[in-house]
Amino acid sequence: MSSYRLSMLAYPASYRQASGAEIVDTANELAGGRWSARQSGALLAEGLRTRARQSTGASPGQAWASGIALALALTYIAWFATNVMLYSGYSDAVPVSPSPWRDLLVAGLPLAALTVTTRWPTVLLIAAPLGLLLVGYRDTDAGSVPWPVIIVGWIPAIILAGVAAAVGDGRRALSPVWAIGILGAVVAIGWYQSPMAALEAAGWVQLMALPLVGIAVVWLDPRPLAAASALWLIRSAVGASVLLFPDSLNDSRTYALQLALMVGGALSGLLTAGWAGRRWLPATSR
Amino acid sequence: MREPTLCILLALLRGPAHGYAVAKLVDELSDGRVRLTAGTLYGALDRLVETNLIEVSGEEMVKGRRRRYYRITDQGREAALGEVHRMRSLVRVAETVDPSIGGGAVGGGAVAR
Repeated sequence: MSSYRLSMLAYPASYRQASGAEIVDTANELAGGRWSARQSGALLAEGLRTRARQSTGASPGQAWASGIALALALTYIAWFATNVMLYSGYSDAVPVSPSPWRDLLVAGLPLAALTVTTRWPTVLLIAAPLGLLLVGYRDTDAGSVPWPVIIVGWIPAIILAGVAAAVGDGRRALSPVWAIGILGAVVAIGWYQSPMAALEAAGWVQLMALPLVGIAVVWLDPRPLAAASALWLIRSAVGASVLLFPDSLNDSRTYALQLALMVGGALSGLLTAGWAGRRWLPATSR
Repeated sequence: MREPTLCILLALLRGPAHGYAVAKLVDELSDGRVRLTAGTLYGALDRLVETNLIEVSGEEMVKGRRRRYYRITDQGREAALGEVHRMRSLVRVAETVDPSIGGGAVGGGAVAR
């Protein structure tokens, strides 16, 4: 019985209050009074689904915005954790070059994050892959990063994740138009100047993102955080495209391909977030 | 429509039932093939209520615990029968492609008891 009650924690509190006892009773009856891993697992999964339905149930537009904001916030958090390690004096141990790829990869997490949109479970969900990431550094670099640094890297990541989870909870967030607009501006700079100018612009974009995070933390408003995260997504997209075609810095012909890759990568991230948002909407809102 | 959802609707065609009774009926109707867990069952019931295919018809207190009864709506009945009709057409197509399919199904005792 108590194990079912534990699994019931996956459901939102209001739902648990209204239907929890009935569901636990039914689980017990169906399992013949014994504990069943199958029943527990199903309660856990359905609880997470119920949370997602409740938190994204307002409109497809809000779900889009919520998914995108989460994706962007996550890319930012990943970058922040990496930078803490870099500035802790272990720059040799951190493989800097693949970081834009990793950041883009982390952007895929809204799929998972949308299933758990309450605050602390979301924090754990965000913190877990980050932890793995940092442990991964330790493995690749044969123990050159001591554990205290890994732990120090975790603290700000968890704090930021907490802020992201607290403010980006499916109600007000970034409009997709925002992100696409900024992305377009960076592309335009690169197109009319040079790939190097695009990289430089991306660097500035990254710098601009930092104070926005500060504003978000002070005001607990999702919009600055979402905007800052959008800026970082663009920064990592530019970085990734330049990494794939390093020669393109001197060759304007391959730059078109590079731009296509960058825009495609960023847009597919946005679309994934939107799909995730709509996927979890209740049928009545579609 | 997924099989568990259709089974729940078919179970409720027999009359209003509470969650546990629905799960047992589904188990019985599917010859033990569809074994619903409480999580899947109530998730499906919630979604069916949201889409107006079923409705909560009443509540009773058993040993101090609330138990909700669900009833199929006209829309739900229509959806279930439509799905059954669709599946029947599909079986006919399959029988046209391979006549042994139809004979096998009847001979195999798949007719509802």
